[in-house]
Amino acid sequence: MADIKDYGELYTADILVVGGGMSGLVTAIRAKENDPDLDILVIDKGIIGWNGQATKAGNGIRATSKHPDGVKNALGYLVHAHTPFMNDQEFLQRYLEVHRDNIDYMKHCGVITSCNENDEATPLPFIPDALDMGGVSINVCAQLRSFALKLGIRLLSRVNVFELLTSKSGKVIGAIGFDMDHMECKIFHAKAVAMATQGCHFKKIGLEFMGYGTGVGAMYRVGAVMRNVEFSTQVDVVFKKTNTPIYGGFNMICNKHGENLTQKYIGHIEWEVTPALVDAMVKEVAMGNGPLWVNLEEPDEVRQMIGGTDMDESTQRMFRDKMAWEHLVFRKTAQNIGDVGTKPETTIKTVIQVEPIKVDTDIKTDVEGLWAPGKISTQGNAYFGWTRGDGLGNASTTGMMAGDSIAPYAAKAEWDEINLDQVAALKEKIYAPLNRPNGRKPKEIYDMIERYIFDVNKCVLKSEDEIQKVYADIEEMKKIVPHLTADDPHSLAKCLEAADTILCLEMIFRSADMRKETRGIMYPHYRKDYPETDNKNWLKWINIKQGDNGEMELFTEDIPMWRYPVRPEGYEIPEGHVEEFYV
Amino acid sequence: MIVENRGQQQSVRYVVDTDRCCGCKRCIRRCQENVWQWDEEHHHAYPKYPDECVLCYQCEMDCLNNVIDIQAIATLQVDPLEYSAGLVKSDNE
Repeated sequence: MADIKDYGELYTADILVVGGGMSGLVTAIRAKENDPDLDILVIDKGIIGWNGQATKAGNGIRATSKHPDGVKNALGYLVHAHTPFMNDQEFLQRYLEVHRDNIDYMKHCGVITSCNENDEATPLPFIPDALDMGGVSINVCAQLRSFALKLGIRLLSRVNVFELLTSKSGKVIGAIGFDMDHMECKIFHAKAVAMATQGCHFKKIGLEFMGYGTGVGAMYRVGAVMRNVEFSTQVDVVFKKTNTPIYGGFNMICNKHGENLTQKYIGHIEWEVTPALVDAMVKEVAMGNGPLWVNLEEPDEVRQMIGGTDMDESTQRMFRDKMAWEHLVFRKTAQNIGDVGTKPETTIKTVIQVEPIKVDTDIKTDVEGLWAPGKISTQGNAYFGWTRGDGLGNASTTGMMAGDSIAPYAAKAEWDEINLDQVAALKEKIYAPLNRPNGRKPKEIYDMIERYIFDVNKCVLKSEDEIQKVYADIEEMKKIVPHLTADDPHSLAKCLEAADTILCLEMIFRSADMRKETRGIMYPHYRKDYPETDNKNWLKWINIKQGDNGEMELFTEDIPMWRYPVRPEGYEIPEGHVEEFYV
Repeated sequence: MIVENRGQQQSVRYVVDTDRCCGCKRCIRRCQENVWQWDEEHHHAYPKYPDECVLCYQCEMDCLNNVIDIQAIATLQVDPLEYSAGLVKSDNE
């Protein structure tokens, strides 16, 4: 009779946390503090404590203001901030309440912050009485690691997970993957699983640290619902020489004749890079009016406010070890590439990221036994608590929420039996690229995807015609996947990542195809063929899940604005619903 | 040891004085892109997967003996504006 140990090494825990970055560690710590009897295991593909985006993040951490109207003020700001009215406002309300204790809880966990002598964070100047900010050490995850170990949380580094195990009823009861040094199969059995695995990033670009979609793919395949995937593109204006952002410099771009593009095309200053500006930049270059450049000697008010010229401990509360790292990066870049000067040439850097898992106010997914804290669910709730530079605050706050919820669930849950046939099938799927001699390499897929990153007509200024072209390419990429070949743990992981990257790419363009309007800044969804925001027809979420036949299913869901406090001007409650908030 | 990566938006040269590597493995610990591996035969760390580098410089920052020198060769190989503007031209032709 077959035994689980015939397939790999078995680990059991009441709670399995996949991903040992900031959100994963906070989830584990919070759950353990809720119930010290729980056996909690955190696993990561890297070394826990020194990996995760928080260890490479450039900015500090936020918390909701302790002003009596802090939650209300922050909610009002955030609903309009990036993807207007797409938020689940009931989620956002709860998030902001927990977020109020965010920095205090980090200090409790041993994280070194740069709060002032009264232990206070600094109010964000552009959102009065809404959000505060503090700095944290670059070694934030090592500090959380120490605290977790003191609590008795178990940590297992260098294990990469690619699939989730389910019970007969579809509940998530574990995971399967391999260790990144010897490629040995590792099987995890748990009562509850939190996937703090980051999202999917489509290209390696300097100083961008993201996952590769394997967590998204694993959750999609067990039935988790994805949301707001069409809001996936972020554009920065960068120094052409170094490819690093000119923070706040996007209203200062001039063509070779000295004409300012914001004045020429937009007519007013913006506080983020907009699709209209990107369109203008491409047009100017196409007309032969390049190179584009900025005059750093005459900063405008946006540049002065968020321009990166005052990133010190007293104003931005940057912690000193983080500043030392940033100075190393700047010094090395200047040393190797040369100084950018005062009138540098400029271009754009596009980042596409998918962080789509839909979660409820407990950070629980639509699948029994499965939680999704951290960046992976940020987009799922329309960048709910995300203000520019607060990835860390999002990680820790959602970790706190997940920990509070997953602990009582795991304490009550029963053990479900592992299905050995499922383990065998998933193991075969994971290791399949090892058994394909002379096959194809993941780089072929990433090279195809790279074209979208460079092509603003596909990733920023979308249209029906361009989306159709992407569909054709996605089909070509899918044909490569069954021929991908690996010969070591690293290349095996890359093959599996490439397959899930294609899945995430398809989610973006299927959603973008469906949403026939334009909405949002920062992570805009822009359709050249539908250039206006349409609150009459598109106050809807686009959700994605894997259908029963294995095909990707998209479906819309009315956003229940009648239950929410913040609504578009002129909003009318649709037929069949009544006012539920202002009663 | 000199290793260069290729095929990414940025290209990077690693100059590593492997003779002076003290074996602390801090570079391996810090890199979340799995660039660094341990050479069992020669007892030093080395950048086995340099294509994965995202230029965070934290391996160099953490190196106990200061034997790692990361040199960015180029940070941008294709200008997205020029690439997209080229497409605009061909679409209009």
